[in-house]
Amino acid sequence: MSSLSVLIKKECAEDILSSRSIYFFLFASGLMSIFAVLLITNRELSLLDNAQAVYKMTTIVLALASLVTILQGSDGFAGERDRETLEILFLSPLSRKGLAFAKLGRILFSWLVLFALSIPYLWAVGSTGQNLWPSIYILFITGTLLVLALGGIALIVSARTATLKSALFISVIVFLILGSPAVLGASLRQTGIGKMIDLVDPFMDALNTIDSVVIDSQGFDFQVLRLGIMALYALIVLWFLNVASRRIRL
Amino acid sequence: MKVLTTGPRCFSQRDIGEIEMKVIEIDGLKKSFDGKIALDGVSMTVNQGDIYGFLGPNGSGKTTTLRIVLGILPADEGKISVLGKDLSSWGNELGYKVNALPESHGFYGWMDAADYLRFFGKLYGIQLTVGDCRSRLSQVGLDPKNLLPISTFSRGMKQRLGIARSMINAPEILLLDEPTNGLDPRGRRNIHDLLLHLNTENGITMIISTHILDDVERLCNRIAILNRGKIRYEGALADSSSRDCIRYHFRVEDAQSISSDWNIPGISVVESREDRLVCQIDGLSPAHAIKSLIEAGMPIAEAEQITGGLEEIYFAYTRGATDE
Amino acid sequence: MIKGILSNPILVMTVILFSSCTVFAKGTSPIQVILQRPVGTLRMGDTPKFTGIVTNSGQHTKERLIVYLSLVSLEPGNEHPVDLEDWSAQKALRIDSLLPGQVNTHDWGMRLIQSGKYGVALTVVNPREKKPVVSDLVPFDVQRKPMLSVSRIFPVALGEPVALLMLFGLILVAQRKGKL
Repeated sequence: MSSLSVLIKKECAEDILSSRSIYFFLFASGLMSIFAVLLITNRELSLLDNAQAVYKMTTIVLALASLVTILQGSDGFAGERDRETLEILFLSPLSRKGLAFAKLGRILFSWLVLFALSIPYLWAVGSTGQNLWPSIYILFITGTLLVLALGGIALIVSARTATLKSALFISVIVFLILGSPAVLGASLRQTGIGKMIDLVDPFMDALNTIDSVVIDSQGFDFQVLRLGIMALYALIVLWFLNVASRRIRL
Repeated sequence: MKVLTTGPRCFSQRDIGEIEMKVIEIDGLKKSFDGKIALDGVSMTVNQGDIYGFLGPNGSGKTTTLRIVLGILPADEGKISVLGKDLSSWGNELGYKVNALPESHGFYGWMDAADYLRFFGKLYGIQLTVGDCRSRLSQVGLDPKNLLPISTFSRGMKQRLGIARSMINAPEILLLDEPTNGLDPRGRRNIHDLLLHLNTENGITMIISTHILDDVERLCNRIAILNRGKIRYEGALADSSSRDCIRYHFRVEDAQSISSDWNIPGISVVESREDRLVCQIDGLSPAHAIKSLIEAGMPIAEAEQITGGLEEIYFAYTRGATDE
Repeated sequence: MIKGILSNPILVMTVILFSSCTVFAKGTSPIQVILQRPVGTLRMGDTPKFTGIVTNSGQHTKERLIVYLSLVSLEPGNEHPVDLEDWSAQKALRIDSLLPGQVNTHDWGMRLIQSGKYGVALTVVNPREKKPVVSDLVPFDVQRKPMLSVSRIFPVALGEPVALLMLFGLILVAQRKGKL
């Protein structure tokens, strides 16, 4: 077993066995449960059809994925530094790049667990309507690309900041900047600048892609531009992570 | 090299004619952080089998030097060779040959000791069986059947586990940064015995970075004193201890009955009282002097150093910059 | 016959009066209002727009007209007015000035929150005239559409958190048992 896979396995085991991850996954499940119940009990939400309900559920999943990604990414190096375990990892034969990508592997594992948890909810709200399985596929693709980009950014920040608190603070700000177009009104997003922001923002690309597939029933070829931009984001971030891993602050 | 396994390290002897292989050679090492000079031309040599004491006050650059040797930090200037090969050519392979116990080292508190060793073993490509883990834990004095998480361990237990972890890859060189920091006297003694055992039984070369002189006197055969980024002194511990005249206070059965005209070179009586003798030892190590006195028939019940020795050397070489 | 009518002064007065009334009636409602429903089937959750067309077919400018929408449920046996607030509908509009011959067109949106039979009408009020002008009542049906399945949501919403709790509990117990 290579050092890289050993570290990823240990990170994933720590995720499952530590209280932090258990609480997070329970919280995520609880939140999706509350939303699912509201969909049938709340008057406004009960008017949503299956496609709209699925879209809103996927939005919640992406928000939760973003949250756990920036938390774990910030903890990647800064947390090890705070716990004084970073230097010992540097002593091992594992390269710095391997260490960075092992941390990214942990983040992807958490995303996969969250995605798996969301599938029953998506089935429950969307099985009697349209585009359930396309919505699950596109959630997986957009979620993975978004997690790679956000996770990479959080790890880069973590590699260069002195403490976990600083890393978390900066990562949250980055996430808020990326997510802010979502709170703009629909009319503002229809302006030229709004459309440009929608296109270049990976978070909005993910939401708009899901909207396009789930609600508008548009095919995969319609999503190529947005998915391409998201993939480009992920590649650029991973490249920077590779560079930053050589200069991880001790 | 013949080593006496009892007593402090300074009793060690070497066979004459044995070639000393240099395992670490540092020449002109320089390092700065944000314009502040941490190391300013450090040069030192560590031979195979040494327990090398690396002394210096806080902030002198000891940890920085060790991190550079381990490949964790890059040097600004200077040549470093480890096991005969330039440091820059080792790459990740260095991790298989050397290991370290850093001063501040955390643990994954949710693991137990065996899991911890198994995890690090796997990082080095070593599959440890249950028996392997148990013997390694026993070797460092930990209960191999203890399945409690590491978060419940005492400081001494964690230090032992850290040593076990640092031994996981059977390193040829082991760097220990303040290994007895924060331990009680018994804990420190236990760590001393463990390190001596590892050095004699496994032949591991050790560099111990510390500012606790008692550790150095008990463990090391060679020392370097680092102050303000420069090596101020490097040499055998016996040399440093015998560099200046040392006075010893001996308690004996009947000091008056002891003839003062003995013929032991390097030892002269300065003062004689009822049951105490003050002797000046010049050019000999204290251990050699005491051995000679006992062989000469002096009934020594107790020996105490009054002046000279490592402490004097340390203070002399770590004075402030205005004194230089 | 005409000579006979014209020789009777009472008859002549009656004809003149009737004609005046007719003319007068036409002259008091130069405002015409039409409400058009959207094309296609309407379903719950839809947000259709009903087009209201107000025309000034008179000779004078009409000022400060108030136009408002009314919605009624036409379910047989359960006819009742419907609160537009619940349907997120635009309730009223003011036309400051409508020139002779000018047409004001406005889309009246609403959210169909409940299935059933309904009717909607548009009323125009001129403050200087006694009688408001009302469009024809536009009937429409709101269809029920397939919504979320309660029988699937509740088991998942309740079951998954419980299953997770049990799973994590089992993992922790197994971890401890494995150590002993």
